[in-house]
Amino acid sequence: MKLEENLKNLGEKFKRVDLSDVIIEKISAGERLAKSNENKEGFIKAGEKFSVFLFFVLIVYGTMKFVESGTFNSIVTFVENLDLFDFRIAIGLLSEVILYYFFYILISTIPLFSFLVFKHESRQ
Amino acid sequence: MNSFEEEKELIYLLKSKDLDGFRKIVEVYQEKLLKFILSRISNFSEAEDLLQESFFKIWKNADFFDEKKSTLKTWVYSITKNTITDFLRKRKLNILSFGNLLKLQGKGKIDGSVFENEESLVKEERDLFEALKRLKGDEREIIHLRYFSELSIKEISEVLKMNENTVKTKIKRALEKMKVILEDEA
Repeated sequence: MKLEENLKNLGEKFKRVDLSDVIIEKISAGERLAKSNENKEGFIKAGEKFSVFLFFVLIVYGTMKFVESGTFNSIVTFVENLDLFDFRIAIGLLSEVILYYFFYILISTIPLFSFLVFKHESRQ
Repeated sequence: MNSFEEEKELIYLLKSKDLDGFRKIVEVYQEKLLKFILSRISNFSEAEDLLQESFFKIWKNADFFDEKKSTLKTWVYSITKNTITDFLRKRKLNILSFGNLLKLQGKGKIDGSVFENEESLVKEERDLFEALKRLKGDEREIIHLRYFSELSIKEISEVLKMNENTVKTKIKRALEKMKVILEDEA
């Protein structure tokens, strides 16, 4: 019993601390940081949606322009006259289509790609 | 205000997620939790850091506290216990990964006294503290909880997730061990 009493008394002699200000300040700083990260994440999410949207708009616009272009008409004519199939014409048309789309996809991906780089950098 | 009403008020303050209210919780538990942390961490400044981390976790997890499952007191102690365990695990991993045992052993030594005024301690109290330091970590932990943080057997059993009889046995054994150490010293 004496040992237990002595232990209780020893416990009373431990250093008294008051870290309440430090703890509250730390929590408050943590909350501020969490809020700022939340805002940043919101911005990133919105930017992500917008750049994907832009990518599809550019692709659709590119397709519309392609349909209006001479190359498209040439393809239609070529398909309509398949019995007069010419390998050189086919290759020429195909390369025009590839070039056109390669160029357009390249342009369309620029905003998406730039955004992905920004997202990566901002999360570092 | 009795302890039941105080606990109700503290739960309300915790749930309201208001920093001024949370300060009251910090003021009520900080010293007792620090004594508990010191049962496993002998470095005082590290113990203070762990105390801050524990309160940060308490604040962050306030929404998960369920008064039907535990009391605020045992919940707060359980979070602190987990914080200590994580810290010790990381420290152990450090030792394993860097093999820097000597350096870390030095870090584990007492950095400043844990007492308000060490000179005022009588020989009997110094011997008692020395005997306490010679106990195993889990024995020291249970003694700190029982006599320094003044938790009941039931509360200790909830914090350490043991049944009440095991807690009683462990306390009894730790006290007997301390008696033997003290007698040997004498």
